[in-house]
Amino acid sequence: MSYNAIEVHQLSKKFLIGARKNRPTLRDEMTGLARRVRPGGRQQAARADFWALQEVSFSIPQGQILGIIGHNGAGKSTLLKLLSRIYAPTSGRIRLRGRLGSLLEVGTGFHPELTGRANVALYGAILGLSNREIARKFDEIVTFAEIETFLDTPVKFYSSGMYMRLAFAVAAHLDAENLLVDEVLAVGDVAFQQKCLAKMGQIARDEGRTILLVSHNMQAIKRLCQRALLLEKGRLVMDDQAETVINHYLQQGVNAQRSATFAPDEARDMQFLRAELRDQVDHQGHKATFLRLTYQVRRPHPAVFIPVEVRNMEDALVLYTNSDFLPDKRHLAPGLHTVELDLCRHYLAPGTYRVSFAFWEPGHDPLDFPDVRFVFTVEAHENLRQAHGLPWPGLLYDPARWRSGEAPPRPI
Amino acid sequence: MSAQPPATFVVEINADHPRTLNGRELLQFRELLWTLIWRDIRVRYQQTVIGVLWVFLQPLLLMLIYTLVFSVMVRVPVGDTPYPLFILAGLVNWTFFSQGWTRASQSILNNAPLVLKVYFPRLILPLAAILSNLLDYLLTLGFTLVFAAALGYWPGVRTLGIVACFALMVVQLLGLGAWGAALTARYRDMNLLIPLLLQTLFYLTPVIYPLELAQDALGADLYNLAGLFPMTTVISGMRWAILEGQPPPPWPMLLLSVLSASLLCISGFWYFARSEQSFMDVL
Repeated sequence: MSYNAIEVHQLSKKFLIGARKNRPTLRDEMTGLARRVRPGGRQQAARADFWALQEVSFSIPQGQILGIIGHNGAGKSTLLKLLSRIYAPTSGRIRLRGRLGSLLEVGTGFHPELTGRANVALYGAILGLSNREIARKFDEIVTFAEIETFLDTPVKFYSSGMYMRLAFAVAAHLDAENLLVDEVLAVGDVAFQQKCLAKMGQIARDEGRTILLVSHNMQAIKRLCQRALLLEKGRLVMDDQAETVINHYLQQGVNAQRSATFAPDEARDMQFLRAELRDQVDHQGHKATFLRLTYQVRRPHPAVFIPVEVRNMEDALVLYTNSDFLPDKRHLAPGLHTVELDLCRHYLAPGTYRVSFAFWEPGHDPLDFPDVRFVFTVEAHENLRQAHGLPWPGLLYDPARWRSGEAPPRPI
Repeated sequence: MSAQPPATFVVEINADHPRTLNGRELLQFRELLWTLIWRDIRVRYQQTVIGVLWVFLQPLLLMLIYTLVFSVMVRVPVGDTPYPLFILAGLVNWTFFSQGWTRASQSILNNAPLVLKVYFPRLILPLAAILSNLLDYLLTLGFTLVFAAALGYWPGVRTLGIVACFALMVVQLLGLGAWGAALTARYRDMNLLIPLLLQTLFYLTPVIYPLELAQDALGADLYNLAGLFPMTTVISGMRWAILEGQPPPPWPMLLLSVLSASLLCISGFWYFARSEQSFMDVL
């Protein structure tokens, strides 16, 4: 007879937007106190509520691997942080049967000055292993991580791959009945990723452990999970077989936008007013796609910039750029501006791409991050050569770089 | 693996019942506490050339300086005790206190990545910060006792009084550490304020001068109120327990400081438990 290892009932989490941005200082609190005492004192502008997760309910039977997918900001990480008790829920409840080990960010808690050996003990203790358990599994962990020769080297001298492998190895040998895994497969080489996937499948199958897996890697979810949840803007929109959910998720690009306008809001320091994707075909018949952004700067911020991301339908970041590449900062001065960016379409492999952009200030919440679904598709036939009739296997496509003998490179 | 859930491991998280300070849970995480203590100690002395010798070098150097200033240049009356012994007995305890409070206060902030990514009772961090100084403390305290005995100032059985004074000091440290850690996580101002408070407290408490000196300055009525400050009676009591010929702090003052230490500790834990929920939002 099996039971539910994790039950989540009507779980919600609310954040105050700006609560992180405006870190309180003693002075703020004191003036706030004075304002509260003085009758008729003006209140500060109210901070907006943001529901990162809203009334999510599901349960996972013991031994199941459940995948969680959704766009960035859909609430996946918030859900895992609620389950691992880092956040306290705003409402709703969670019932966990069995201990919970979480692998939210691999290597959290590693101390750079300590050796690999000491860090195994430290990380194990952070994840809830006792010293005895760590000692018992030590050899197994080291073998899995493939770092035998570097055991007594401080981890600050490790390569990122070694660091990752050691961290995953410790976590994979946890005794916890339930494991939360967030995007661990994003790093490390392919061979090790395969090894991790195999290990996860094995511990669920053979040891009856329950795993919650968050990943942008649809292949991994498809391979490991029987079932998947799709989150969208904090709500659970789909709970079905992994294959079905993934297909639905990838299809979302179809109802795409190519332009959007936004109502002016005087309260915002910076705001996009109009954004559009424009196609242009040159005299040779080559197609280019531009992102054109029209925006208003009301109150300038010194460190702000406009990042632009182009992601493919597996949510891999294919192209990142930002407005720092403009020759000067005039585009961030108060006033109305228009900027345009070539999305390098001719370098992209055939497929569908999603574009997102924001006003960003390092260390703060974005000043403006429009929720748009800008999508463009690079058709297979517009690139001259195919991979012998198969889908193009890489992220990038560049037909122009081949040379043979003394012949000059062929122009695009 | 059995199909029935292990009943002891059922965890309920309910928004209607926010968590509070939980002693049993603290006990469950004791391995993490030990590991964090070891981590702090190892990191402190790794890659230093003379390693643990620093533990002795620091107080000895300070002892020399204070002796030079307050015994050779200015004469502070300390009874029959040689001033180097007198100041060392005070300094050793003061160092444990000041480093403990400083480290505990920064503990949440310094371990922010951990706090943001992994769950454990947060009180473990200031606790580990305080206890990671324990080894240094015991070594220097032992050294002081040997030094006292070598010069013929060892007070015999009275030395056991160290245990009581130490207990009082730890209660004060826990309270101040909990306050400091929770406040520093929220207000970075504390990083500047706490060193200043420590500096003030250093001169208010009888580290470089004997407690009795304050009697003349404060008068008989106010004198006992000095027990309200952390460390006043601890330093004086420790000196009584370590050195022959030093008087103990008066009883009323001692009672007052036990009372204030308890209040400090209880209020500190209360404030910490209250703030724990919001560390996520302010770190």
